[in-house]
Amino acid sequence: MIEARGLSKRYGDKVAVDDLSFTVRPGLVTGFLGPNGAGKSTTLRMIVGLDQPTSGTATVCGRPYRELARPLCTAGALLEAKAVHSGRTAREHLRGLAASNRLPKRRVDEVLEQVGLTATARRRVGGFSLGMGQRLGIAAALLGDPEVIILDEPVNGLDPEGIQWVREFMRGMADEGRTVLVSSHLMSEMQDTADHLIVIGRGRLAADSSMADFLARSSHNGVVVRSPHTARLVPVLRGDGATVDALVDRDRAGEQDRAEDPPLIVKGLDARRIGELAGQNGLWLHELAPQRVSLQEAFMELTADAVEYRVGQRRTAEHIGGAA
Amino acid sequence: MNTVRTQYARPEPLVDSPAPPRGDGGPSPRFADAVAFEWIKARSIRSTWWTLAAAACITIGIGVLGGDKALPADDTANVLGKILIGLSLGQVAVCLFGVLTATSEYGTGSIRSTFTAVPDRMRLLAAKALVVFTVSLVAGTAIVFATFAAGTLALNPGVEVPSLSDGAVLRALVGGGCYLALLGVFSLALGLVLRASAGGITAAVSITFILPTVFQMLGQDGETLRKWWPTEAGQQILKVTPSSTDLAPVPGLGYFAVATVLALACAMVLTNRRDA
Ligand SMILES: Nc1ncnc2c1ncn2[C@@H]1O[C@H](COP(=O)(O)OP(=O)(O)O)[C@@H](O)[C@H]1O
Ligand SMILES: [Mg+2]
Repeated sequence: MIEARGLSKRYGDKVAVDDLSFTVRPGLVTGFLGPNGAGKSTTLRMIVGLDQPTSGTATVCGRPYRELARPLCTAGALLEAKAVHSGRTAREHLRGLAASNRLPKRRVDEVLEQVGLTATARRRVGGFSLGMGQRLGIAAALLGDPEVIILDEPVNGLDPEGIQWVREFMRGMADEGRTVLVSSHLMSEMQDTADHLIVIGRGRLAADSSMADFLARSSHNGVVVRSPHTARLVPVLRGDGATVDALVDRDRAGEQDRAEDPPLIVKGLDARRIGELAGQNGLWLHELAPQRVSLQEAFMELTADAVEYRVGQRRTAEHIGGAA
Repeated sequence: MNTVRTQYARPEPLVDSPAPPRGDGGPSPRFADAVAFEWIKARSIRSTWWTLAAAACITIGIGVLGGDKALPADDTANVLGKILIGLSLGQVAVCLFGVLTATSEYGTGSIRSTFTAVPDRMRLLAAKALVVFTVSLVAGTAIVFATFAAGTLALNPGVEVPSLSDGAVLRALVGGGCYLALLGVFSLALGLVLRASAGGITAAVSITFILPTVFQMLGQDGETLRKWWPTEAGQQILKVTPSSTDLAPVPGLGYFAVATVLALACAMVLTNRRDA
């Protein structure tokens, strides 16, 4: 369990973290999300006692991190990839950390095995790939078999295989009842992994909710409809209270060019009602697909007024006046 | 901005289940564990070994040349002075060792994993200082005695051979090891305050080597400065015959020890308060 209460951090005039309060529960993977510069890393550093909060408190398992008797057994943190002296071997790095917390030497071999670094344990860290560096960081976090696991952007720069491995790792840790807090600036990394989300923008809390609620609340939900009778279908749907837009989606751009029946995104009616309306009016449907909103869109929407700079933000739907 | 807050809806069953027992509750780590940590770190980076090897090569090498330069007219003090002349340069490598022990951790970011493993920074830095002191003491004493042995062998026939049974000679050699041990810790403190290798090394070389040379060009004021300059005062311990203008050997080394403790205390307090 991690608790932040009124956590704030100022660097000179710059407010990096602004009055954050949240609780991270055991048994769940909690995604800590926000655009770059939102204050995620700063918050995590305050949680593990590296940075002093300007105001507010953070506790891990009920105590400020710096007061933990045996910190590696309570919380393990991966804060930066390859934050290890490049001349040291993986084993030496872990041996030192284990000694510092009175952990038996066998834990070093166990965690090396767990992250799949046994074969490279005697090589200097300087020659490690980013992925191996991340694994070493995770091995260090696991040394004390901790209750709480904190990972700052753990999949940054990893190949798909590495990303999958980290995901399964986090899932497994949460399933064992541990508290897992993982930060990312990319929603897509969280979509299939996190059970709970804490979203921040410009250092402020933007959302603290379960993944399901987060998705449900997004206004981007809709149904993708494709019909050869678009011109007649749109007024029917609008007549029943729907909002109808042309679906402009990068993934489907190719289809769109050649399609005589451009896909529509319908909001305000569910798929069943749309199907019924089409049937009653003798209109064909070639596609009727409730859209699962992408987390990225929900995220952009939520942090839109919190993001420091928005570069080339893509609109997913554009209004089509007159429809066909 | 709307803040969306909901209860923890999914997956419910695990939320309130008691956490399984973990490795906590075992023996609490102590100061000795922090020392073990620092020792493992110190010995597993190459800079520890090359800086100390450089200190040995420079000091012993110049000691051989110096011994060869000693004249039959020289007294014990002069002969020993010529043998140990290389320490003024070799000590710079010991400085590098002390500085790099701190700055390499900041440079690589590993200071963060160090501080998360041992959040009691006072304990950690005391352990670090003890390791640097001990390593510098052992290496420094070995270097000083090896230089003495090599320099003595290089003496030309007719030159008086300094003897270890001469109390003043022994004091100079044992004291020389102690001086290097303190110098390592002094440099560690510099590294902790400056955190960057480049800055730390520049400061250490300036303090031990460049500034004392500059002082010699400043006449009377320079002499006073040099007398109270911590590293210069500490080096009085190397003298067999105390000079009348400088601090006496043992008080000089004591003065440097006090300066080192103060520097370390400042570095520890500062590091404890700063963000890592
Ligand atoms: N040590 C520091 N000194 C000054 N500003 C900082 C420092 N660390 C972070 N910041 C600033 O605080 C803000 C939040 O940074 P950070 O926590 O790294 O964000 P994130 O991890 O979400 O990308 C950024 O604007 C960053 O420039
Ligand atoms: Mg970050």
